[in-house]
Amino acid sequence: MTDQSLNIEELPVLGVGVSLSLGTNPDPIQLARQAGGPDFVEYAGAVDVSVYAEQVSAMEKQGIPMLYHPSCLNLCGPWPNPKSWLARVNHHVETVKSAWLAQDVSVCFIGEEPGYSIELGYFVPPILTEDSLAEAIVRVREVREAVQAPLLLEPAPVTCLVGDMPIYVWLSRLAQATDSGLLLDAGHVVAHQLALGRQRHELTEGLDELDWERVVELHVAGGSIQAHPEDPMKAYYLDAHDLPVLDETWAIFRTLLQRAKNLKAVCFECESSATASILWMLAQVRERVVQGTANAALKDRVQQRAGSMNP
Amino acid sequence: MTLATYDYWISLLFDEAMRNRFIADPAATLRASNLSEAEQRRFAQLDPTGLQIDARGRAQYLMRALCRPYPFTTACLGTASDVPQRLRSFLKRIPSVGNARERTFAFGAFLDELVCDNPWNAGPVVVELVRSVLAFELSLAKNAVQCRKAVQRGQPPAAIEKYSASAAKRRKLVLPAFMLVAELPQSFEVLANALGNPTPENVWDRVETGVNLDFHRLESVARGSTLPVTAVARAQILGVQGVRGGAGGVAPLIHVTHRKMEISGRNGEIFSCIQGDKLLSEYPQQLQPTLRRFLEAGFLALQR
Repeated sequence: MTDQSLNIEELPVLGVGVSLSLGTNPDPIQLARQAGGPDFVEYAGAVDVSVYAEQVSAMEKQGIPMLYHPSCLNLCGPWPNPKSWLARVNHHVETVKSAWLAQDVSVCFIGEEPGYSIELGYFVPPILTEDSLAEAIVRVREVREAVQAPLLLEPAPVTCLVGDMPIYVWLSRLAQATDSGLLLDAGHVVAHQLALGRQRHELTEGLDELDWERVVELHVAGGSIQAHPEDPMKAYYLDAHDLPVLDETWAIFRTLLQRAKNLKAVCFECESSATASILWMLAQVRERVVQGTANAALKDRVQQRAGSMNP
Repeated sequence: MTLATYDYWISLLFDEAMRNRFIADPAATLRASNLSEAEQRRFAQLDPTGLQIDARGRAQYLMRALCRPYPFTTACLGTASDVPQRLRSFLKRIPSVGNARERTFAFGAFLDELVCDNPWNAGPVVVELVRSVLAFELSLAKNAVQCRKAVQRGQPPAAIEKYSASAAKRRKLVLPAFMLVAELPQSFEVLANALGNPTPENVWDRVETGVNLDFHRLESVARGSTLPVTAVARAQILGVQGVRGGAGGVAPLIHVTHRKMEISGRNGEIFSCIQGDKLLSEYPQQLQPTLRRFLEAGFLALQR
């Protein structure tokens, strides 16, 4: 492999940031200027980085680290990522100096012409079989070979599963085979736990199969839980960044913090939220990170940042 | 290696009729597939409620996006029964229609088929009205696509200018780029009143719920005596926006809007006589006030 290997020790500790859209409100640049603002900004967006030239320049001047989190790569499935498309993704990553590239493991486009997951309405989640895993390894290697930054794999949110392999085994083997890291979204983990048939009081169970050493980043975001129309024991999690974070998600988040010893960054996903509520939530997330993280360096980083914000 | 399996998975997510057959009788539906026995066993374990939730969320997002360029056509169709399901049946084509541009036009052609099929079981006057509305909305969609291509080539359309009186005396009158002129049997304003003001943002939700969409009101517009109009529209670029989807997914969109105006009567020839060869003062005296109004409103321009 010609790309950067995943040397977790060398990845920067970024602290607690937000995911927002560049060029729309709430404006990440304004937000980062405020006391209690984000330590970094993660964003989804167009492959063509020139679209964001103004915002990227402003954030560079302010010293705000940026993480590119696209939704345009096939990290599983039979449809390859065209080299020209990957070259553009790499150019984007290099331009914004993204410490790593992270994306949900899913099908984002069908056929030869690349595109964005929302053109399919949402991510198409992987089929959890050995055959599909072998093919996903090929897809992820395409990206690893073209993009000169470490890659983090994130389990996409689901309401149902196809295949007989447990998602955490499937995902960890994919990361190990491709020397990738992991990004865990607490809400997405709730979604998988519910889809696996676990009940609300069992959500923190069965996570041992994950390769915890590879977990570099966590996300926390709002969502909703929808009950099965007939079976009171069954429920489904729906990702919704404009809604409050649920208790179930906070419970998983606490577990993830305790187990991810190599954690470098925590991102609160808050597109469409009001600025005041984002700052309040960032304080909540920082408090939980300080109380719960197993990574002393991350704890120090967040505490230092909190200290610098106090008069 | 897994093409057939992913194809089947994607069909379940996008093809409502197939999904309903699968949920009603998974074993029979899977037997009729090309999947191996092992793959059939895996799909047989699929949670039908979870599948429906995923597919509905996806359909909701995609239908809103598909209907956005065609708010009036979609609202007209929404006055007929069973239309939401018929509109959603387009989704099974999504996996084979490449990009958003092709998808917009394919959906426009699909709407035309549906209109010609006369889902209202109405007289030809209703079908003709809705087809003329669709033709105009389709030309707006095509104009927006051309406009985006121009932006991508680095040649964005000129912004609407305010001209001084002296400029109008010195420079010849031209049609601005990315402008459309169409003669329509009815005013969009009348249609908007009849259909409860459908907008690109709300039309799919209204069609799905049937809120305030009444066929008899549409029929009155089609049959009633109203003045035909000439509709003009000029594309303007509002910038690049991120179109948000689930789980933070974003795709870029060059946001094109159309400044629109309606003129009473069939007056398309006013615009067809603008050839870029005359000053405003060289047009017939009685036409000059009208042309000056169009110039001020941005529907005519002055040669550079």
